[in-house]
Amino acid sequence: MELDDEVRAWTGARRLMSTLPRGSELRRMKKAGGGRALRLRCDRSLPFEFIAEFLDPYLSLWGARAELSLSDYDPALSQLGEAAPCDVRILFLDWRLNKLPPAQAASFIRERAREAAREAPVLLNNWPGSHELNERLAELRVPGLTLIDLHALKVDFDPRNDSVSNFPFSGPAAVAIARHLALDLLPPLAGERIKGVILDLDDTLWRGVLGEEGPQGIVIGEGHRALSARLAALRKRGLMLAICSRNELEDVRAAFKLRSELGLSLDDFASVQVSWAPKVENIGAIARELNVHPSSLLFVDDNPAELAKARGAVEGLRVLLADPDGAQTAAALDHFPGIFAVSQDAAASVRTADVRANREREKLREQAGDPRAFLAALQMEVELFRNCAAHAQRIHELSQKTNQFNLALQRLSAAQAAEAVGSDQVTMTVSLRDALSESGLIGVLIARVEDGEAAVREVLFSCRVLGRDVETLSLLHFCKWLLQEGARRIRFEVAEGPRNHPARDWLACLLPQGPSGELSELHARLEERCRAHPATVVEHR
Amino acid sequence: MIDKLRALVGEVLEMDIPPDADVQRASTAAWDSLNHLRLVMTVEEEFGVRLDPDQVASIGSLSDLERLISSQTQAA
Repeated sequence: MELDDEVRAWTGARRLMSTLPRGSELRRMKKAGGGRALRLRCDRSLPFEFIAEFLDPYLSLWGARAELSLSDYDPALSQLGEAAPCDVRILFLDWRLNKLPPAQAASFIRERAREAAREAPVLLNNWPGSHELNERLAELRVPGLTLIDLHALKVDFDPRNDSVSNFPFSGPAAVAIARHLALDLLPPLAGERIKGVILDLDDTLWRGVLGEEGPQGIVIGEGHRALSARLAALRKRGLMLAICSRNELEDVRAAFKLRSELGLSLDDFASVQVSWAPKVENIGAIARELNVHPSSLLFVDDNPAELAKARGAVEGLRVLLADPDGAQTAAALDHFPGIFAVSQDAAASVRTADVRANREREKLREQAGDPRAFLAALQMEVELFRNCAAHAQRIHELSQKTNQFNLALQRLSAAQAAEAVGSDQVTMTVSLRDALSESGLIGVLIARVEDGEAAVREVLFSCRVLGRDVETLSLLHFCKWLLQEGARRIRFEVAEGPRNHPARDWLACLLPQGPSGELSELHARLEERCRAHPATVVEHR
Repeated sequence: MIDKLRALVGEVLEMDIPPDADVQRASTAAWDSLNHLRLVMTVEEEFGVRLDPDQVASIGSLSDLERLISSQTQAA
């Protein structure tokens, strides 16, 4: 694609994310076709067609398109069990037709949503202005269920549309709901996730060229403050921020120190790459430092040529063309596919500090020379939890997000994660802290013991903690638990993915003959390997 | 105005409408109740008008729609 075409596409994408166009404009765009098919099933008591027709223009921004099947209009949702397999189930209900009191209405939908969520993630709408019902729906806590929060979207009712076609919302509301579904809710449910945002500085985070105008000369307007506030909120939510700028580091330090109206400090950024090296090199360094695949990173820059170079050189990198005044960038960030959080990120509060601490760990590793001395210097404390129900959401998160140390790539749904902490499986969750930082819950091992064999269906660890043998130490204790459950043999499920070779290589080292063997032999091998591991281990059973 | 309206109706109903041709709701399969409201919402957005339920119900053809929009835009 020529650069002019790319600029047009990026500008159009930014506008679609940051503003709500007319329906007719979207209708003209929807003919593009192509892309990854997303199988959506909508069970409903409302016309969904007025929303569905606007999904594809938004879905195409992340290379997807909708394949939609619709139930009949049925407030009882009696067709729930009949539909063909789908990627996401949408329950789109006219709550005015439900005459039950809010508590009973919530109870009615809980059972149906729970059943549907066993097969696929479920989206369920609440209702604008129905406070008590919405509170009940927000409290449902069904694994795999996410609310389409029509109340928060502030969608307009349109009595005329309601009387003509039983569609109670306005035309612009239909567009807003479609955007929310296609850009906010569906991407994370389909595995599209942004873990870090890489920011250019000049004409992106502020207007002007820092090297020429100096820290006091750059302009920080309303749009830039809005952008900074969005970035701060994303960081608080668990996304990592990084800077990639061609500038002098001292100038950048001075700008953040002297221009406090930015509302961000350099400490808010997990990685800061400020140099005159090509940005592509700095983006690579950021990906390595954050230890995430570039396809989980969003690069925001006002210079189309830099975006084009980065896209060409860094596989899978997502890009957003910044507007020099910041306002459109800020608004687009809200709806960039993969940014929206469908659930709370349990590791949000620790991630940036933990990644920054990795720099200190690398220094310690170099100073220590001996790997054992390095591990001892870290003063690690590992906690192992057995079938802890409170960790189900984090298991789901880790399963969805972890790519490098993910042995079976099971991608457990929220419902499957909840089942994993049930009584018929042995599930270990692992938390870690050391002298430098709190890493939080970073590992999961899941097995089922039957007829003397432990079938390990998943082993996964956050890439933040690799290189400290925590995974091996955890497996040692996991094997001990499995022996206590009566297992004599062990078999690991292994899936070959594009990025999970660290996990496969680790297992191949432990079991060179293949992914199964005598459990006691593996246990003995692990004991030998972990004998000198200096971490303190606490088991919670 | 009629050319723009014809183009919009053609987009919503996904059909080519020859110049000077009228389109009858009753004899056009694509002009179902869902597309009827789509048409109304589209022309309202594009022409800055607002039709009440009775007016919406009275639309039986492209020419009906044209008359309604003309009367509203002239009144404004």
